[in-house]
Amino acid sequence: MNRDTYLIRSLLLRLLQDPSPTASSPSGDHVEGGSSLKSSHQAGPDTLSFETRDPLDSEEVSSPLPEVSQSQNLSESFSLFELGDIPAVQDRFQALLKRRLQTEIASRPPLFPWETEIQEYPIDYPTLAAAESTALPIWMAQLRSLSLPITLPDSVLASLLEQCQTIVQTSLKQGVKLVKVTEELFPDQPQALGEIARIITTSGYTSDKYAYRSAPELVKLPEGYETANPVQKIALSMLAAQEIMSSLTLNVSPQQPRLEREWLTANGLLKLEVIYQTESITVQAQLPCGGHLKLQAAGVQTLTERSQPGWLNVNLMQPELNQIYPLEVGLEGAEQQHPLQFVICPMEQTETLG
Amino acid sequence: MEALFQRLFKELRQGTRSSEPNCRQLAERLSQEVNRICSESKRIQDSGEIEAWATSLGKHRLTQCLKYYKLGSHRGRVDLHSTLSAIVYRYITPPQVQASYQARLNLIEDFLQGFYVESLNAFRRENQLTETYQPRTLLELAEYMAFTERYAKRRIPLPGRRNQQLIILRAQTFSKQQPPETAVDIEQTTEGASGDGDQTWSPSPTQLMRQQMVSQGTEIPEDALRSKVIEALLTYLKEKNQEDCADYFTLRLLDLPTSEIEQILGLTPRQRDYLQQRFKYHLIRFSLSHHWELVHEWLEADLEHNLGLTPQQWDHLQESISQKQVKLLQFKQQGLAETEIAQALGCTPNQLQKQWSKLLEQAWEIRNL
Repeated sequence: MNRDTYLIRSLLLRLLQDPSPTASSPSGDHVEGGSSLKSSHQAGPDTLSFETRDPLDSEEVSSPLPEVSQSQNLSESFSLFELGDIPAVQDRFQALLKRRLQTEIASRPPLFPWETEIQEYPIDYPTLAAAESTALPIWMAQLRSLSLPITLPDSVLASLLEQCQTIVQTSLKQGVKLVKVTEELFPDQPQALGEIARIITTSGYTSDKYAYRSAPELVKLPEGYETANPVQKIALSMLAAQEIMSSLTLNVSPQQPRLEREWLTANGLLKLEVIYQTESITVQAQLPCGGHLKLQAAGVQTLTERSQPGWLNVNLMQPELNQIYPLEVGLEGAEQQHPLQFVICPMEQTETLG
Repeated sequence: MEALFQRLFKELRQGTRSSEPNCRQLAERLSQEVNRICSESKRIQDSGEIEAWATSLGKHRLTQCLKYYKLGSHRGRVDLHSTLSAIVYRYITPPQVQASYQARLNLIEDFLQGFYVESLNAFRRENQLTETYQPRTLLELAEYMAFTERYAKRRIPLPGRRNQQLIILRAQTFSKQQPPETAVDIEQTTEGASGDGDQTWSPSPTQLMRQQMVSQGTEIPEDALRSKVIEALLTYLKEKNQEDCADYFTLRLLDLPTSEIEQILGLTPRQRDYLQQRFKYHLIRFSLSHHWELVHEWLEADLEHNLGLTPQQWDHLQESISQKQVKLLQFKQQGLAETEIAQALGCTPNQLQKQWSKLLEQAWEIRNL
């Protein structure tokens, strides 16, 4: 009998029977047959010479020249018979296993060597200030104490703080602001961003733990940010952004002419007091270390600074209602620190947020 | 190569929301890599179609990067990790002889952590980046993930005109480097297989058959026929909408134990048993009905060879079948068309088909397949 015939007959007979209940050889352990494993050991995988081979061999891309590729594939096609190595079988097995593994891996995604946590990557290089990493740490202490149901990673908070400082200077609607400050964190989910921002703004969610828990869409809280699903991550980030924007915005009005705000920094507590009068706005700041205050209005910029901890004042004359006035607070640390941008908004009536 | 750079740059600008410097750097790195392959590859140089190769290689890289970019940080890594896990699965051998799905997954996890470090270093080295380089933007992360996939799939030449994917070689090395107390088991299996090993380890019949197939395989360059049988059966199962049977068949070919098959397919033993029965049914239909000619040819049991029966067995068959079946057999051997035979025997083509399958089954039993 022809050898092929014998083998095919054995194969068919075997397939008609039940598979082995116990492990036979762990598949892929091809040592015994003198197949690829043995040979690869002879080749010494650790001493493989990359220089002596044609770099095209490393490609799985199809050749632009069909005739070349065909002859190539023929000579390179599997030269040792292994049932599992038949391309059709291998492809099917890998596709099957990949499908099976994906759900498990999605719940426990791997970390890459430089990562300490699963993070979203920004679309663009972090701004110079953030990249120098001297920019944010001084301001981060405040963010770590945000009242959120789950602590967010520093990288996420840093990104949000960066974005929020810019966005509070605009008069965009709250929902749009939420989308803009988080889209860098979730660049591939524009649709989800819009939907979640809408839920948060229309339902008046606050980051209050109870309110969050009662929100039906987000009712099941994950253990931590890493284990949260993408929707939960977006929601958590938006709630944090809402808190940060609110902390950076100093709303005053005739009904509420005085406003105090505190911001915990790495150098100690920063205290701001805004006093609104029809003719002027006064900002008094108690700095935990040397630093500066800068208040900007149309065509006017008031800067004041000191080198020691203590008080600084700036005034803005004849403020207009419903205008946004940027207030910059800079602190001197060991290195040059990036200043923090607040905004002062004199309003006819003070809005109550959340 | 400037043209390639410009094309890649333009497509990256169009296909992503990344900044100009980010796209520019990536386009530069990709075009340099393609350039290097094109100038160092003798095959490409000999082809005289350097431009076409460069385009094709560049496009491949671009497509990969954009795929990971679109998937994003989370889904991208899940995709990469599951792709690589599926490739090395068969080669990551748990130290226990009793391989299990979960044991393998745990080892794969460890293995891939090391592999990501290796690919990061290779990426830095090949792109002449500093030793502290790490991806900072989504596009750079996508670039690293795409590189890691390509790096894993690089084919490394082995003696005898063979080659193997780099990640598989690494997985095999990894499996060898298990702690000493567990290494004993691995040695046992290898020794046992080589025939002079430990008495307590004896290869199962399936393993023996495997060994035989493998060792014999080295003598003959062509294994096209066996591939053909398997591919035909896979296609047949897919045509019959029996995707789960095709999956099951695939796992059977890999010689996985029952429990592992059940875990991979997410089936209970009972469900797996049903699947085996269903698979068996389709396998028989495939062999006796739809592809009987092909299968019997492979088995050297075609009509020319009296269905593979010895003269005594052939006589025995003739005696045990009805007059109608004897005629059917004769007509078939004479090479008459189906319609003619059906007419001569006064039956429908369907009935004829059934009769014929039955007859083949009887021969199958006499022949013991």
